[in-house]
Amino acid sequence: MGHDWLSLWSYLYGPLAIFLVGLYGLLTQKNLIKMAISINIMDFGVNLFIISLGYVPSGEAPIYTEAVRRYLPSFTDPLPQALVLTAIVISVAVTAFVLALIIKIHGRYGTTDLTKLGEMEL
Amino acid sequence: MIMQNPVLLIAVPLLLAFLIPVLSSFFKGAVRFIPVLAGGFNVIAAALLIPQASGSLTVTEIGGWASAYGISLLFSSQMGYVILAVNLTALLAIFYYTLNERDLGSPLAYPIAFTLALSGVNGMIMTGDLFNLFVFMEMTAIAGYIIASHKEGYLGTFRFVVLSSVGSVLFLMATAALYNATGFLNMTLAGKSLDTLAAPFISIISVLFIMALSSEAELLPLNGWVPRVYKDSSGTGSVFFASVFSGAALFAVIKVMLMVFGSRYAYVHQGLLVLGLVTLAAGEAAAFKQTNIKKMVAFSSIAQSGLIIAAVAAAMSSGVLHNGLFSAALFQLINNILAKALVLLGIAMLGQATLQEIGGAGTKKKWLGVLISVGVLSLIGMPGFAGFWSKFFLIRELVGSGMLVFILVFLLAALFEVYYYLRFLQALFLGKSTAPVSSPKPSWVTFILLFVLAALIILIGFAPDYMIQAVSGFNPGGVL
Repeated sequence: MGHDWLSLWSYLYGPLAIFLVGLYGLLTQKNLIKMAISINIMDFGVNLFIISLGYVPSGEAPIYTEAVRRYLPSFTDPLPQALVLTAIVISVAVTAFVLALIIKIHGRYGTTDLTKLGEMEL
Repeated sequence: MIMQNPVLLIAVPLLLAFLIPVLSSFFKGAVRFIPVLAGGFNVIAAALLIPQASGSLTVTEIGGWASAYGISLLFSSQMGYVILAVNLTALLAIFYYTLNERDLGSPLAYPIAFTLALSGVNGMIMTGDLFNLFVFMEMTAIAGYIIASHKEGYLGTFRFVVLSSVGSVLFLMATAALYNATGFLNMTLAGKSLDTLAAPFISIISVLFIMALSSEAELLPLNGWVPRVYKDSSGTGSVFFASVFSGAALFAVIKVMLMVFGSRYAYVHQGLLVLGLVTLAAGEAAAFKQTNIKKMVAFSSIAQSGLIIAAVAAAMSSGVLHNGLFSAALFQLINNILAKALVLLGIAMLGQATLQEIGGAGTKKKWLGVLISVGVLSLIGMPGFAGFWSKFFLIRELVGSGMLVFILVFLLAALFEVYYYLRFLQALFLGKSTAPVSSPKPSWVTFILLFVLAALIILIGFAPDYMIQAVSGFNPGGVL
């Protein structure tokens, strides 16, 4: 949708930078908990990215009320917001599972360090 | 008639999965009985849907919303056979679990996960909406995490979670970007609006989609979890990943490529073709070196995914969908689902892990040895078995299209495949076991599961024309 992309750069490139921070963390961190946090940072970046794609300059929240019927303001796109809501729920479930998994790994091997775990298993 | 709606394949297992914890507090047998019920219902419903479906895609709009605004399900007779194969192997795996593996891990989590996954894989195959595909992928993946950790294979599961999460984040990003550019989440409508967009955007989106789906479809670059998860998971788990999950994910990749990108963008298909062939070669080369049997099958599974995707990419590369190549790819997909399930169930029943341990096991358990051999011979494409025909049709169509590099890689990979699978058969029948492993005597009911799969493979081997007719003539156009 033909917005002025330059004026929105902080909304578009900011989230992408957050995503890259998460990706960097996932690739460099050796601690399982830090890896789980990195996945969450990536999710966070992408969710912000989607929200900003649906932004309309000076758009109102997409809720249909009495005031809306009178003044007919422009809305932000509600669909990306609905998508992000679903994505957040999924990411919460995955995070809960990962943390439970890390507890199990720690209980069995006594460490959450990926290098040590690799040595133990090979 | 009520069976006519394909949404039941998704809705019924979903409902039953959530009923398991409720009902099991009143009635202890519910945990055993409900997953079998869900699997059985899906097999029957899929079998009843096929004769009613036509060769071209029909759209079922969910909740009365038009395709442009709501979620729609796609169904055609060719997809019906893929769905039937996936659900049949899932049902057999559930039976196997109920008979032999109920005492591994939590008795409640696993049946729920499997029933949810059943719903998810059918959704992945049928949905025509990109975001809906994301939700079904995540649902199946989370159920898959539970299934992968069934036998305490926690490290493999962790790797799976990480790679699959990266994939899903990329998928979400690509979906949102495509929605922003076209205004549609529906695959067909978004695909139709692609022509107005710049080529760099399309290539970035296609790379994101392919990378995102690669973790679930066992393609490079995100398939690093596969060998570890196969090795550490239970017998049921390995069948789930090799046949049910990867079958559905592969069809999801095929569907996204076909519906969104169509046959219009040569560079997308060239990229997909190269990725498929590299996956094929790398998978077969890695399988060649394995001494752990399940790891060997895992790498072989990766290679087959590569082959199928390369064949689909080749089918789309000429600008129109090449019917012969595409139906050969679908045929290969179905054969792979059936044969991998047979081999992995057989290996799970033998109980041994490595080629040394398995030595001579096939002579002690003759029937099991013969049944595993049927699966293996179909996988390597021995004449008389189903796997021969799909590879034969594929080669014939490739020669017809003059794709020499593909044929070369394919034949070289097949050579590797024949070598390591024959080495496995040699160990099974002629080897001497160095470390005998005592495995429980399987019940006759378990044998029936393997007999069903072996009979199907031999049956298709005798009537390949029926099968290739059934999956040919797929028409992705004219949906709306």
